[in-house]
Amino acid sequence: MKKTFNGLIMLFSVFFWIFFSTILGFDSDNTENISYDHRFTFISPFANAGYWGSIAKGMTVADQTFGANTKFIGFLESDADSMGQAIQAEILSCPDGLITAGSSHPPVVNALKDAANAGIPVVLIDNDNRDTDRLCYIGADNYEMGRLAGKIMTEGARQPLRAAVIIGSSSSENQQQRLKGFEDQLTLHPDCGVEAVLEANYSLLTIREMLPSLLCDHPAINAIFCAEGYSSIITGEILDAMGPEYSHIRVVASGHTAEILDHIASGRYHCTITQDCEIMGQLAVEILKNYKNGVPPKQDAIYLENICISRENLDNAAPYESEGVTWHLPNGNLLQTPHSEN
Amino acid sequence: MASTQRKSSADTTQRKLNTFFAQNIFFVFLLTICTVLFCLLSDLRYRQLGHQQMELHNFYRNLETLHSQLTAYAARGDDTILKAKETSLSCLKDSAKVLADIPVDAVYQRDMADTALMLDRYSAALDQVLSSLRPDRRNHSYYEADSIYSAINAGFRSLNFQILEHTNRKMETFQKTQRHFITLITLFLAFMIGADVIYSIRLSHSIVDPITELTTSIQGLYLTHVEDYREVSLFCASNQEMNILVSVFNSMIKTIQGQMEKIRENADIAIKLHQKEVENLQIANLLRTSQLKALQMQINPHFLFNTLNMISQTAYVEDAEQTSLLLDSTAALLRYALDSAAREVPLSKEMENLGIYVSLLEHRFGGRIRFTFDLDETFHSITVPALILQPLVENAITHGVGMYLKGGQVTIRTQYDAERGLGIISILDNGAGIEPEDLEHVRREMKESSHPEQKLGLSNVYARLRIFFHNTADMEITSIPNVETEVSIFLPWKIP
Repeated sequence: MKKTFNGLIMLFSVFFWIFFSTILGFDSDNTENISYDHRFTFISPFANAGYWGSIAKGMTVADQTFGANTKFIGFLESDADSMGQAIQAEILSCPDGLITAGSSHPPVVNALKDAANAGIPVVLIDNDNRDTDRLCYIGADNYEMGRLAGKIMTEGARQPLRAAVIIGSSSSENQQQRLKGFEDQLTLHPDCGVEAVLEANYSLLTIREMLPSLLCDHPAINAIFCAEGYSSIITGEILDAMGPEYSHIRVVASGHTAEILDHIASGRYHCTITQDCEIMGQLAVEILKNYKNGVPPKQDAIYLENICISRENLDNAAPYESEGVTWHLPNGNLLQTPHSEN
Repeated sequence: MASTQRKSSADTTQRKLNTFFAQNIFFVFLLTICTVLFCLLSDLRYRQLGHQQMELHNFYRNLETLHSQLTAYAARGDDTILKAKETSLSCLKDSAKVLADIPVDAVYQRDMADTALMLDRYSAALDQVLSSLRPDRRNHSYYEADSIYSAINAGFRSLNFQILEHTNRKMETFQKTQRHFITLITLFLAFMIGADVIYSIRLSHSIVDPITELTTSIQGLYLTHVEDYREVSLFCASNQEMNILVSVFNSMIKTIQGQMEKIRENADIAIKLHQKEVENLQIANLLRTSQLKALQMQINPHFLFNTLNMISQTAYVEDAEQTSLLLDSTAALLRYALDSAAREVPLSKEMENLGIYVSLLEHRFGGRIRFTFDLDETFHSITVPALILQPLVENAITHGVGMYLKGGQVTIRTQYDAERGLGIISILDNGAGIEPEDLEHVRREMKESSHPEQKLGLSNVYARLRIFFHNTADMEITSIPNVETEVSIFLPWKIP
């Protein structure tokens, strides 16, 4: 009887242990308020899981390293006015630093100047604009990138090389720099040159509509330099759809989304030129953190290495990774970016 | 002793039942407490989740109210805000603090921190608006406050969404917990019901089985004698009451068996006593008969004895020595018969007397019959009734060798069989013998004679020996017709 009773007591103990574990497990919050020293805000032209998402991912890594908190604000459609408004709104919450892509659009430039006036340090990434009183620029040397693209394009290519360049926006300094670098490189070869420039406004629809027409209008085009991400994703698909007579067109892309890497693997693209985006994000946070701690950046522009990914080194390349990044959209919604895009 | 009592008291049925019910009540009580506790916690968490949502809405409603008062003040000089400002701002800051403490995630945390900072800036701008002179009410500070209000307001959707997500996550966790709890309770209940059923069966067996065993054992009393009845032993586990009951029952059966045994022993003793009395009566009867016969014979034998002595003396005077010797032997024989007829004598004495008798017979039969004594005197000290051998020798002469003109042989033999503890006396003759049918008749007559006292031959000797030796002595007759007849007496005797 005593043994039975002891057994029951043990049984009850196990039951209560499980019961209270369950109850306490339910009652406890898994999420704890994490303390941080600095509040930074990253206002991105695009809220996506690709290039910009990868930069944001680098910032989250840096947040954990440096005890900071970076808020990600992004847009589904690139809009300079909205960017400007978002920067202005952020100024009202007095962040310890702003990170954004430079632009020559006045709303953005003015907003960035306002930020600087409010004592908020600004780090520009991807696209520089020295008229914005920014603290530092981190990103590719876009001119060099354009030149590299031209160099790769002309090496081993059939002459004469007549290239089309797809850019995001003619007002975007980085796009201008890339185009210029590319053109300058081609001028070194007498028979090579830019046949046409397509301004796609960072719109897949525009590229899908205009690229086939461009190729039809300029049958001499035998190379395409995609100077921005969206065209880099979709150009291969369009060329495949247009038929085998366009299969000779040599494509050099920008960025390294999964689609771009697939096109390289299939031989559709010759190569892509990209940078380590996560490092870009990490450096931005680190520079702001150091600045807030009284250590200004040693250089006002930090250029990241341009990396060329072709079939030869494709095995070492991985698509953008942006898991755990939550974007604040202008309409107040949140967007989590688990999947890779541009 | 005390510990034994304590231990045994733990095995009582009442104790088992009490423990069983106490355990069940305890179990139900604990389960009830768990369920109530779980329900209370659930209710609390529901309220908390609802309260978080309400807190956010209150924050924005209060902010909207405050800003509309500010707008009214700036536009129309409505001074409602002057009275409500402190309270409203205090409420807003408290709400912001409560909202900031909700552990949603890092994004929410950051948004709430931004909101709180913007609220501080809004408060500062508000103070500047309220401190400015009337013509300047719609000044830069007002627009700054308006911008901040818009910025804070823009965050509502995001914050609301995040709290809703948080609530949703919590609800999912809660539902999962509820399922776990229900599963746990169900499993535990099933286990406890199973355990209860098993325990109940065991308990009922521990009560019923001993009773059944005892009942079956008691029923066995109808089928067997009490003395053959074996005590009840319970093979099943039993409680203290049943053990006591069985022990008392066994004790009662033992007492009955003991009393039965005593009654049987008393009855045996009574039977033996009765037999003894009968034997005593028979002996007394034989004695009386013998005494009577002896008395009847005493007149003539004494006359004859005196006469024989006178003749013997005369024969001696007349030099008839042979005659005188015969007469002396006859006289000695008569004296032995007269003195010892109703007495017991040592076997040696009986043999001595038999020797006198045989000497007379040798004289009588001359060379026709030869008498031989083959004696083992080991047991001759045994006491036997007097005159048991003379009739047997007489029978051997009368029915055996008496008619022989020569070659008659009578052997008197004694021998001791140490192995069987028997002294054996044999009278052997080589007479005509007895036919088997007659031999059976003689044996029957000898052993079953109803009035042995009326006979003086085999039956008399046999009856006297049986009585004297309490039925332990025996006598046998064997005969081979025309060869020999042997009468043997078996006397119980052990070497002292």
